[in-house]
Amino acid sequence: MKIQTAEDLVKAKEQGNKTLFPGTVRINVGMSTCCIAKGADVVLSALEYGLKSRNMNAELAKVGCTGLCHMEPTVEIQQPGKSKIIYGNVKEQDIHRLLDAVAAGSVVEDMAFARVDSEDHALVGEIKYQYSADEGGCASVRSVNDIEFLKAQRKVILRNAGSINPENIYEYIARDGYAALARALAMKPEAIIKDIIDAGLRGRGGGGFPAGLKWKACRESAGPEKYLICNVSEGEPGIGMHRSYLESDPHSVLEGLIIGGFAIGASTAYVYIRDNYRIALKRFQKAIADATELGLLGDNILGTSFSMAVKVKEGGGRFVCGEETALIACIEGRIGEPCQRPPFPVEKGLFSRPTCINNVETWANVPVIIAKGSAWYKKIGSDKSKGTKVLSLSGNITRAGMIEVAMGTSLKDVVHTIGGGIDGGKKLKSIQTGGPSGGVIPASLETLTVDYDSLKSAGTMLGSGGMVIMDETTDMVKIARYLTDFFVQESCGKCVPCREGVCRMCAMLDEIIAGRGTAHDLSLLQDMSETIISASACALGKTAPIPVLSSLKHFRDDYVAYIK
Amino acid sequence: MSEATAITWSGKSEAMFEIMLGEVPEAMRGVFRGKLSAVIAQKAQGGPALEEHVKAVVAEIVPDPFKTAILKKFKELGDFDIKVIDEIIKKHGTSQDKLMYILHDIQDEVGYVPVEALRAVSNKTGISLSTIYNVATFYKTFRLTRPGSHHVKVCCGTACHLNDKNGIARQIEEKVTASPAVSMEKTLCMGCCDCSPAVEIDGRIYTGDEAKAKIEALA
Repeated sequence: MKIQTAEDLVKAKEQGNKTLFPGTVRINVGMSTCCIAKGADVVLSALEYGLKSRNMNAELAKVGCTGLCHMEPTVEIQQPGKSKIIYGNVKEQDIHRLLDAVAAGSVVEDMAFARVDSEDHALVGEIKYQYSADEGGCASVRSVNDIEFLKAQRKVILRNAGSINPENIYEYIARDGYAALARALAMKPEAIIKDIIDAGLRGRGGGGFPAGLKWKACRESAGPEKYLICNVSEGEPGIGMHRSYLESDPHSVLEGLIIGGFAIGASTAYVYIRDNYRIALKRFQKAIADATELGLLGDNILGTSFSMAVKVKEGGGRFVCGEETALIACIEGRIGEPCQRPPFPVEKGLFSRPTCINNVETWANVPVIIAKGSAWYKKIGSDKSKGTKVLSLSGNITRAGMIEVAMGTSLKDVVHTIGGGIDGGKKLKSIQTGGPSGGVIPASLETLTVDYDSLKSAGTMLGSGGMVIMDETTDMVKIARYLTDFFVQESCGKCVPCREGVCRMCAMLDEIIAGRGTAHDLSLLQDMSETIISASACALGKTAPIPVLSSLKHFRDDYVAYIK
Repeated sequence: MSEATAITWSGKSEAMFEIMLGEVPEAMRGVFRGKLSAVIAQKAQGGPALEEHVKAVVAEIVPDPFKTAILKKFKELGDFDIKVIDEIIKKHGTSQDKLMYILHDIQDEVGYVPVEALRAVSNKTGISLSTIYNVATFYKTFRLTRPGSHHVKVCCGTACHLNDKNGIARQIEEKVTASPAVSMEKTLCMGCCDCSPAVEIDGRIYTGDEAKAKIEALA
C-alpha cells in the first residue's frame, strides 16, 4: 500500500493504534543496546515462553530505550482501561509473577516502579491509559508524575522513545508521525526554511549554528545536485544518547531528513552511523525500507513530484569523522582527514556539491517544528537557545540515563533532581559537559544552565549533550591526562600542532602525575594549550587542550598537590 | 593483468596466489602477476586453477626461506576464500566511495580483513593498493589480523574509566593477553555508560563484573 492522501494516512494511523492499544494486554520490553547489555533479551525470551506456555494473548512489543538506564531491563504492562505499569530491574525469574498478575488483572506491587495514568505527548496531546479514576486498582503504585527522574524532564524529541515499537512504522504514524511531512510538502520550501529560522533551532552537534541559516545557504547555493548528511558519528566518550535515540525512534530522524530534502532541494541524504552501532544501523535500514514501501520515501513521496533517497553509511570508528569535512571524506571513501574551510560544505561539500550536514538530533527536531509551528517551539527553552536538549547522564551518578530537558534547565536540577545526586552519597566535584572537547567545570558552577551560551561563557560547551558526573574522589589531573590521551589516539595526524602538541601535553601530564612536575610545567601547559587552539586546522585540534585548560583553571589545587 | 583475469580460480587458490604475490616486491608485482598466472594457467590446462597448482608453482619457483614462509601462510589462511570478495564487489561496485562498504562486508564475512583481500580488492576495483591500505589502517574498525575465537572489546569511554575503580579493564587485558584464544581491542565509548565499565564479548555487551567472570571462563 502506498500512502498518497490524507485518508491513507488516517488509515495507517488506525493500523498503528491496533497494536498500540490492542484490546488485550500490551507488554513493552526495552530492547536497546543498553537494555540488552543488562539482560533484556533474556527477559524477552522468558516473556515469550511464558505467554506461549500459558496460552495468553498479548501484544509483546520490542520498544527502544525509555531513558531509565539505571533500572534496566524495564518492562511496561498496559492492560485495557488500566494504568500502564512500569517495572524496573526485571529479572528472568520475575516473569512468572508478572504474568500471574497480568492473568489476574492485577499488579505486582512490590516490583512496580510507577504507574502511568496518562501521558502528555508532544504531538498527539494527552494519551489516556486509565479510562476512569476508580478502574485499574493501581493506586498503591506511585504515579509517574511523582518520580523526580521523569518529572523534571520535557520530552519532545524522546516523545516516542520506549513507548512505540521502532520497527513498526504504523505505530510511529499513529503518534502523528509523517503528518509533518504531509504538511511540509504542501508548503513552499522557503516557508519551511523560514519556520526553522523563526523557531530558532540551533545545530545540536556542538557548535550551535542556526540550522535554518545553514539550510538557506545550502538552498541558495548553485549546484546540479545537493546532498544532506545526518551525522551520527558520536565517538565521544560518555555519550550514548544518539544511539539510544536512533534505536528507539528512527522514523522521526527520517521524517526530518525528508522534510529537509524538500526544503533544501536535495534528492539524496546520507546517514553516517558509527560502526559499532549495529542495532541502530539495522533499525534505521528497516525504517528506510518501510517508509519506501509506504511511499513516504523514494519516488513521488506522498503522491507529489518530490523524490528522495536515503542511504546509510557505516563509519570506521574514528572520532575525527564527526568533523564535517572529515565526515565527507569518509563518505567519499577516503581517510577522514579534515580539510580547510572555506569553502564550506554548504557551497562545496560531498562530491563537490552543496551539502547540508546536521546532527541527528537537529534533524529530529524538524518534524516537531513543522507539526506544531515555530511559535509553539519558541516557547520552550531559554532566551537564545530554543527547544529541548537530549542529554546522556553518566559517571558517578545515582540515576544514569538518557534524558531530555528544556534548554535553560540548571545543571543543578539535572544532577540532583533528575540524576538523584552522586553515587554513594559523595559530593559532586566536577561536571564534564560536551564530551572530551568540552571542559570540566567545578561544582560551584552548577548554577549554569543547559544552553549554548551559558556553558560557553564558562569556558566549556554544550556539545552534543554528554554529561559525565565526577565525585569528590576524582583526581582531575588524571582525568585531564585520560582525556588528553584520547585526543592523542584520535588525532588524524594531518597538522602538526594537534599531532605533536597534544602528544607532548600528554607526556607532560605523565611527568606531573609521576611527581616530577614543576610549577613551570603548569604555565607551559597553559601556553601550549593556547598555541594548539590557535594553530590547529580543525575543531578536534582546537578543542583537544580544553580538558587541560579548564582543569587548570578550576582545579589548579589538584595539579599543585602533585608538584608540592 | 589480462592473463591473470583469464584464469578461473577454484577454492582458496586465488587467495593463495595473492599470498604468493605478497612476497614479491611491490614494484615487480605487476609483472609477476602476469607471469605466474600464465604458469598456473598452463598447469591447469584450461580447467579451473586448483590449490595444488598454486602450491606446485610455489614449490618449483620460489626459493627458501620465502617458500617456507608462504607455505606457512597458506596454512593460516583458514576458510578465507577470495570468491567472497567477488560477490561483495559485485554488490557494491568499484568506485572509491564504495571502498569502505566493501571492507566492512569483508570483515563481516571473514571476521577480519586479510592483507590478501586488500590486494584482491585493489586488483579487482582498480583502486591503488596504497589507497586501500591507507583507508584500512586509518579506520580503527578494520582488523588486519585474525581475531581469536572470542573477541573482546573494552570500552575506554569517560564513564567507564571513572566507574572502573577496581581496574577491571586492566585485569581483563592481562587475562586476555595470556590467552591465545581470546583477542582484545580497546574501543571508543560504546554508548552503554550506565553499564560502565562496559565490555563487549563476541558482540554482546556486559557490565564489568559480569564480563570478568565470563572471560575467566573463556580464557
